[in-house]
Amino acid sequence: MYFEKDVILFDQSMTDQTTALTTLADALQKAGVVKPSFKEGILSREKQFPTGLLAPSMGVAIPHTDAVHVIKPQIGFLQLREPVHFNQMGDNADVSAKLIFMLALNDPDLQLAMLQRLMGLFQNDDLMKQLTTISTTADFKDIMKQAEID
Amino acid sequence: MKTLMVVCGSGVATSTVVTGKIKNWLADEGFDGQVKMLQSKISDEVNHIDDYDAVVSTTLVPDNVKDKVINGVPLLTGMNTQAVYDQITEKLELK
Repeated sequence: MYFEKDVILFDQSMTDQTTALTTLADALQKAGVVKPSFKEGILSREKQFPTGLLAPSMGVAIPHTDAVHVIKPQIGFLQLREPVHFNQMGDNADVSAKLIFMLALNDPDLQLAMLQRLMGLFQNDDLMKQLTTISTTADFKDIMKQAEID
Repeated sequence: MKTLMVVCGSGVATSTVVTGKIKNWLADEGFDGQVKMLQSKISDEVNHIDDYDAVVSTTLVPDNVKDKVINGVPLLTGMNTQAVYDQITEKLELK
């Protein structure tokens, strides 16, 4: 259910964090799963409360914003050709993010298991490495299935 | 009963993960009867930090409350998680 709208982008060249966030947010809006206010929510929230994470094998980011901007739970994925700069949540450390998972969520209780599995995926070096090299939606969904996120 | 508040930027995503992890840990350690878990967004709690026995955050907190808040990000990345649990144990005086 989290990937049914196929907001899954590979090998993207993004000049900076804002461009990457805008691209994913626009794609989610086009898919009809978030309100027009979602993008602004994402951009302002990222400035105030960064969402980068230094996973063991690479930097990632999980931009998200308030539930009020979300119509239907969904995750957008962006694989970057060159990493873009984020700051780590909690301590503001520099993060060179290679993968971005944009979370459109509105029900914390339902989504707990998915989020825990997403954090588990970040700690799986083998699957993370595959995520940086794949180039098809089918391969992406296969990896997500292995991580039990779907 | 001690109170433990978990905050993130939105109150729906990473604070949920951290709350789940801490709940499991409390149960494993046999502390679950001693602690009441709460969850919120940082902007709602920044002036109420002292209302709780301990606060864990996955997001940046203002400098004036920084020393009172435990950084919960290791519970997301899985690196150095024990340090977080040690701080919670100390703050809540769990035994």
